[in-house]
Amino acid sequence: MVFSWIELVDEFSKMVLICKYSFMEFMKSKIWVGVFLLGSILLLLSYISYSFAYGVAERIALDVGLGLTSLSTVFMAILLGHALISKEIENRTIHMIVTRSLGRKAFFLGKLLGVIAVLSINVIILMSMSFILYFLLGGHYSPLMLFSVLFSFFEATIVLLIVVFFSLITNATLTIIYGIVIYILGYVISSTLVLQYVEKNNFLATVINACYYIFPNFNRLNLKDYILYQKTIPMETLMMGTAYAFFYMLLVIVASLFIFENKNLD
Amino acid sequence: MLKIDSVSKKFKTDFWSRSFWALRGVSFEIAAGDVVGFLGANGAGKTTLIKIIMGLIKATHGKIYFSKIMGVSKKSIFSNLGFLPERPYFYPNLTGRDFIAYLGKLNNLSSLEINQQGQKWAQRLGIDFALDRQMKNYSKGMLQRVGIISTLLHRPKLIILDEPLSGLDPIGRKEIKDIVADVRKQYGTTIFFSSHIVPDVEELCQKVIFLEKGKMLYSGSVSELVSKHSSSKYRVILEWRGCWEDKAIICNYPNSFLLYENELEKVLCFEIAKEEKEQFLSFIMDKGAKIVSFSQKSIKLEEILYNVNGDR
Ligand SMILES: Nc1ncnc2c1ncn2[C@@H]1O[C@H](COP(=O)(O)OP(=O)(O)OP(=O)(O)O)[C@@H](O)[C@H]1O
Ligand SMILES: [Mg+2]
Repeated sequence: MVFSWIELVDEFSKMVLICKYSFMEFMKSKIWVGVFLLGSILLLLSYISYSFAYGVAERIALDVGLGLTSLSTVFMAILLGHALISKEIENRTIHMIVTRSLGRKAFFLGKLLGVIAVLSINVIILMSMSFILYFLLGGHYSPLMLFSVLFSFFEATIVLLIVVFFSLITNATLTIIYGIVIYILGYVISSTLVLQYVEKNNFLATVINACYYIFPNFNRLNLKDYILYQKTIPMETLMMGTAYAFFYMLLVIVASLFIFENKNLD
Repeated sequence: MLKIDSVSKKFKTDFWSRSFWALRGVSFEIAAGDVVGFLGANGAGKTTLIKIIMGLIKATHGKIYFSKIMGVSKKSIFSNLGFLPERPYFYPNLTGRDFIAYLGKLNNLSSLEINQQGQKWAQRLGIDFALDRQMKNYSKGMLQRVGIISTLLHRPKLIILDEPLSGLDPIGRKEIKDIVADVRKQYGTTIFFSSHIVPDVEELCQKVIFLEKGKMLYSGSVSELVSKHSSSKYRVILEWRGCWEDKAIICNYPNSFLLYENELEKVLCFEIAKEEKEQFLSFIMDKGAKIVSFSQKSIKLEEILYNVNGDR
């Protein structure tokens, strides 16, 4: 196989095309109604928590807002991710696409990018709603806010990639279950509580240690505490978080690509 | 154009069940410009083989070869290939026009080409009026037509259609059949299509591949198959109102064979060899018989394939 730049550029343009049209398909579906409905509920809940809170109430509102945003985006990632490829296979639309003049990798990456674009817009809409409410209630701007948007997006993307990965090797129900379990484990495993508990048990410690490396560590991507308590955060932590996210994504993408390339598209 | 070399495919439905062979050593070749019908009953393995050709699933054994004119790299081969899957499905929220443009661009067509070609075929297939509607509102026939358009858009050298006529009304079937014949005539496109309806294949194809339970039972020209199996006998039905002595003479005519006699209608039916038919006819007319009908004992591809089946 000879490597050629022309080929690569062509594949890249095909990927962009796939991304564009799957994004178009999302845009025309009812998904955005859902997003705005979610946003309204989020605002309402934030406001309610503001009204009932004591002390720095606007921070509580932001806390609730950001929490709900990241939760709902992850929810959306699972919802969209589990069907992204499997639905194409089930509906046999994939038969019409991958038998054209393009590689499977371009198709897969294009689909991923399309849904990632949807997720990022979702994060931006929901986060802006929380921020606007926060400002209206008298909160102050912090540069960390933008990072928290970015990291929330990373978190959702990692969940998305994991769910897509599982959708290639198992059925829809299990995919969703794995997605949820891994999301929860991603928070729990690295928490000090667990680490303390298992220290006494050698075997469990090994298992948890292994899991620690396999499962994503979402605590690294959570900046809420920093924003809420105005703690400064070292640039290094931010960079490490970003690098971690990218490295993890890359790993899952490479694994998925390998499976998809050899998959029977029945 | 395309060579299938002893392709076998084993399926294992789930872990516990026994595996079974959906295709067993299927080999044939399709020459450039051929229109080849791919016949077989439900579950014979047609779709499985087509999926293997299109690289959607892998063969357990055997290989697929495309000829050099199709291209060398996988991408160039696929840019010369038009494929319509069985019961195609589309993106519900895209319009027909979007979808056609999407697939055209995936084959490196310019927007201009896509518009021109798309419009041309859409008019021909009579769905240009619906191209701006979302595809979730399309009927089965409309979806099939959009599928055909997207298959022809990039002027492929080889077209592979999996049951292109299923789900269409008689007018739709006629349209698609006409298009297949036209494309073949105009561009010399090689066409391979599966069907389980024998007359369609008989009408359109020079060659036929017949598959039964994963085994290839016949591959070759349609006319050869038909002529090999059709008899050289002719059938004469005549009305006889003359005397019984003459009737006895007719009945004893050499190399003729009385199939049946209807006493009430005074009708006799003979079978006669091809070489003797003229003499026989003039003979009976001399005797004063009226000819009711005269026909070659024709045989349908369907009957032949049925027999091929039974012979095994
Ligand atoms: N993914 C699969 N797993 C297991 N068995 C399969 C799979 N795909 C097809 N089969 C089996 O292979 C056989 C051939 O199926 P195939 O779809 O190729 O038939 P066909 O000739 O296209 O029939 P039809 O005319 O109904 O479309 C069938 O018995 C089918 O059940
Ligand atoms: Mg089939």
